[in-house]
Order: sequence, then C-alpha cells, then structure tokens
Amino acid sequence: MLLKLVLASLWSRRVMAILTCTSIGISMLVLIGVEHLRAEVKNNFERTVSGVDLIVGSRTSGINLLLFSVFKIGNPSNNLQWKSYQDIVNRKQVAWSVPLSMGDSHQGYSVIGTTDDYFEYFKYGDKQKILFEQGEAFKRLYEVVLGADVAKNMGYNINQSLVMSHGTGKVSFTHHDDHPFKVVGILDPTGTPADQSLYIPLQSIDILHQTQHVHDELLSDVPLGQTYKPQLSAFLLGSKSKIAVLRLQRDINQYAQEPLSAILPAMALRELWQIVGAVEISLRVISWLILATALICMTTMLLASMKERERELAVLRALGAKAHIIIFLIGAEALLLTLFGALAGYLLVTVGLLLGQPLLEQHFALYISPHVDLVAVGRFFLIAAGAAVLLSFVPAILAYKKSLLSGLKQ
Amino acid sequence: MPHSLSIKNLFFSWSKQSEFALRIPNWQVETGKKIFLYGRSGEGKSTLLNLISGIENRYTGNIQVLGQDMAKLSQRKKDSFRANNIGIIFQQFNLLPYLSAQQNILLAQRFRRVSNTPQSDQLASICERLELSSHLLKQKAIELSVGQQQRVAVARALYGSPALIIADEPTSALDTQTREQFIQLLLDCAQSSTVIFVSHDMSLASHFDQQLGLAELQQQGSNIYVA
Repeated sequence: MLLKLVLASLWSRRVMAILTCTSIGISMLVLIGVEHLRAEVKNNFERTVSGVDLIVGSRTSGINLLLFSVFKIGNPSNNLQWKSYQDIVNRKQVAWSVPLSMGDSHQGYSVIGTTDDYFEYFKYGDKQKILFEQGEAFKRLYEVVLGADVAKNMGYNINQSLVMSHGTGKVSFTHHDDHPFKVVGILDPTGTPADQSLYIPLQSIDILHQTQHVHDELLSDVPLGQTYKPQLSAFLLGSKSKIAVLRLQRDINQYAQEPLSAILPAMALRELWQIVGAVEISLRVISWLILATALICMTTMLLASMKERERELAVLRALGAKAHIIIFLIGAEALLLTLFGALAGYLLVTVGLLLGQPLLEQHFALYISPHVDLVAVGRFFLIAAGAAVLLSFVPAILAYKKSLLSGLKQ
Repeated sequence: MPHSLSIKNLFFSWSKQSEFALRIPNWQVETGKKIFLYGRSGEGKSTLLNLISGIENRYTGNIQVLGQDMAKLSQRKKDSFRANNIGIIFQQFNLLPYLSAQQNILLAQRFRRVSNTPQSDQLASICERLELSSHLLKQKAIELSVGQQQRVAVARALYGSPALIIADEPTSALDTQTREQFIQLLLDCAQSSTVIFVSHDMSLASHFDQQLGLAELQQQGSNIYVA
C-alpha cells in the first residue's frame, strides 16, 4: 500500500519526476561511461602486448618507442642498423626476436615489414597467440597478411591484390603500383592495434623502395641479411630467462656502436598510464561531482515539492502516519527516482556503446566492450541509492515536523 | 456514563507575545454524544481540535481522550493513538487526489495498529449507507464531484469505527441543501461514535445533542448548553 502511495504520488507529479530521473540518468551515464571507458582503455593498453621481454629501437623515450612499435601511434626518431640487430639477437640470452620495419601504409592502415616469427612470438592479452582466421603467413616476397579490421573494413578477401603507399598518412601521392601484393592470410580479431595493420615480408620493404623490378620469389630463396639488409624501426625480444632481461636491457642501452633504447613493455605501459592517470582521476572526480550535483538537485526538488505537498503530508499525519512512514514515503520517492534514473543511465551507456563501438574500433583501434561491468554498476547504484536516501532525510524530517499544523491550516 | 473527552485547566498560546490564547477551565464530553462547537473565525476552534487530536502539543493543563492523558504520550504514540481511535473530517475533505476513492478510505487503516487487513464487510456496509458504488470507489478522488468527495471523506473517517470523530467545518464550502444532507449522513453513520463537529454556521446546531459556543466554553466550562 505504501509503495503504491509513493508511485501514485510520483505519477501525479510525473513531469518533475521524469526531469529529475533524466538529470540523474545523465549523471549516471557520465559516471558509468567514464568508468567503463577508463577500465576498457586500461585493459586495452595492458592487453596490447604480452610475452615480449624487451622492445628495442633507436635512442628515444620509452613511451615513444612503445607507442610507435605497439600502438602504431607516431613515428620512430630514427631507424636502427641491420648489423646492430644481428649483433644483439645473436647473443646467448636471446630466445627469439621479431624485427619491425614501418613507414608505408595502405588506405591509412600501417604496413609492417616483419618475419613470420611475428605470428609465432607476438602475443596479446593473456599471452594469446595471433591466430589466422583464413589463410596462412606469407611465404613469398609479394604476399601480405591482413589484420582483422583491415580485412573487415575494406572488405578484402584472400587472393585479392593490394598496392602499398609510401608514408603513413591516409593520403599518399606515392603508390608502389609496380609491386602489388596478394592477400594470403587474414588474422583473427585481437581487439588490439594489431588488427589495424598489414603485414608483409621484411625483404619486401626494401623492394618497395627500389625502382628495378624484382620477381616474386619464395622468401626462403632470399634470406634476410644476405640479399636484403633492411633498416629496422624496432624489434621485439624474448629472453631465455627472466633474470637475464634486465642485464640485456642495460647492455642494449649502453650499446656502443649505435645509440639504442630497450624498454620493458610492462614498465613503459605503466609509465604511459601514469600520464593518462591524471586525466583519468580528473574525469572520475568530474563524474562524481556531476552525480553529487544531480542528487543535490533531487533533494532541492524534494524540498521544493514539500511546499505543495504540505496538505498531502498533513492528511497522512492526521490519519495517524508516524514519523517513519513519512520518512519512508519521501525516502522511497528519492530512492525510486535515483534507481530509475540510474537504470536509464545504464541503459543509455549500453545502447551508446553498442552503437559507438564499431566507430571507436574503426577510428581509434579501441575495442570497447558494450558489456558494462555489472559489479561496478551495482556499486554506483548502491552509492547513489545510499546518498539519495541519506539526502532525503532532510526534506523528510522537515516535512514530518512541519506537515501537521501548517498543512492543515491551509 | 464515561467521558470520551475530558479537559481541565487547558491553556494554549502560540507564544508569549501572541494575543491569541485558548483557556478552557473544564469540559467533559460523554461517550456517544454529538457535540456542535461553534464560534467566530479565528477564535480557536481548529486549534482546540488540534489539541484534542494530539496534533498540537504545546499546552498546559490536562486533556484526556478516551481516558488517555494525551500529555503522557510520545509523538509516535500520539500518531498511533490518533490512527486507532480518532476519525477526522477536514474542511476541504483533504482526499489525496491521486488515489482512488477506495484507496483514500482504506488509507487510515494502513496506519492502525489493530489490523492492517481491510475489513471488507465494514467497507461494504459503510459504502452502501453512503451510496458509494463500486464504480465510484475505483475513480480517482480528483475525478469526484464535491458531493462524492464528502461521502468518501465521511467513509474514511468512519472506517475502522473510531470512538471519536472530529469534523472541522466540513460544510463551509457547501450550499444549504447539501449541507443538511451531509450532516444527516454523518450522524446516521456515526451513531456509535462520539462526534465533535466544529462550525460557525448555527443553522446546523439543531442536529446535535449539545451545542457549545467556544467563547462561553472558555469562560465557564461545559455547563453552557444551548437547546
């Protein structure tokens, strides 16, 4: 009966109730949205690279090296020499290496020159290997493997012929028309920037920039380091033992023949996240302030409505409603407004993510799951509900004290 | 015969500076009596009803309702006592506009300690006497005519058979014919209850067992009797 009374009373003031719900819903949308984006972006960052002990590039900052080699953001400050690469990967502590050469693109997607070791050793998430959805790794000079998003967004299939362009911008005036590549493999989606790249043999990077025509050959017939000695943007290293990683890093950083930087991906990610962290904290503070403002607005609305409801509350009290019933009625009203608002906010976030996720993936290589963490949402709901109930005590107690006489005098 | 209401040496004032003061040296109302309390506007009729029903508590002296000293009850117990024993009919009927007529009638029952289970027999009986059809009971209070609202307000006050019914100028907005009908209806339905009916309209006085002027009551007590 009491709940019916609350619902009926709210329905009689439905315009105000809907507006209040909307303001709480929008604040909850911001709060849940920011928290979800923060968690997802952090998760995306952390799952982008896994199982790689060191990333080595020409001397630059750790964050820059991480950004261009893993996230495909920015450019290397310089290339490193093939000889230096050979020198380092032949050390006894090194278990495996994956060379990376960048600088070309296809329709805005970056082209990475590498070896088939990339598909063997580069891992993401919880040490997950990159798998092939179709086809296999390149075996010949003019073969290309596509990241999942490239194939999906461009509508490419196996055996299709593609032309690479010089430079990394979306628009290029130099196309390597004389060296078309055949698609031989398409990768499974990983939800990382790896989905946004095309992979060609390292040898081909050199060929793309030559004027003379080179016949398509088996890669095994043109071994790296003999026919071709490409310059590298960076390379990934795996060491035989974890203990050796720090020593290897120090040795590379002190490498006398060429100024190089070696970074631990996890450390660089943490450093990067610390920079993003300040923005993250600001966003969280703003989100909570928005929610607090919405709840205070709701309390103000409840207080304002007390004037017009004096008679209603006075009648209830005259009929024998005790303090706890008046407090329950107003508290339940605040709680319902908050929960309906919060639910609306949650639904808006989910719908927004479902609609916006493909765009985020396409334009920012960010895979944001549309499934919001329900534990976090539940926590926000509880905090908002608790705050709403606490705040509702102010109008409730004032109403109880004031309602009888002033209400009946009207 | 026991008293439903007993007041001794009552003094009430809004504040020390206030010119208004209510003084009742002595007043007893016998159980089952129908009292007509009249007085000029602003004389304190509504204040007296508020004191009797435990709505207003700042007074000196003694008020006993149904044998219960109201000063000895906490606010919570006063609310409970009011819910269980007193039916109130307001000046404007004060139905909650967003509830149906039936929900308005049953509302007081919700706050009673005795039983929260609606007594359907009693409800049916009251509604029959007040000519409240099942169709009308389902209508929202705001959709009812003034006459229908009156009957719902009376039903709400009578439901649960309160020992004391207080009516605070419930006829002030009604025309003469409707006023007569309303009084008749109220007294017919509240035969077993004590009724204190407040009004400044002396034309209604003849319907009641006792007629008391508040001014005289304040000076001399309940020996004032107007035939």
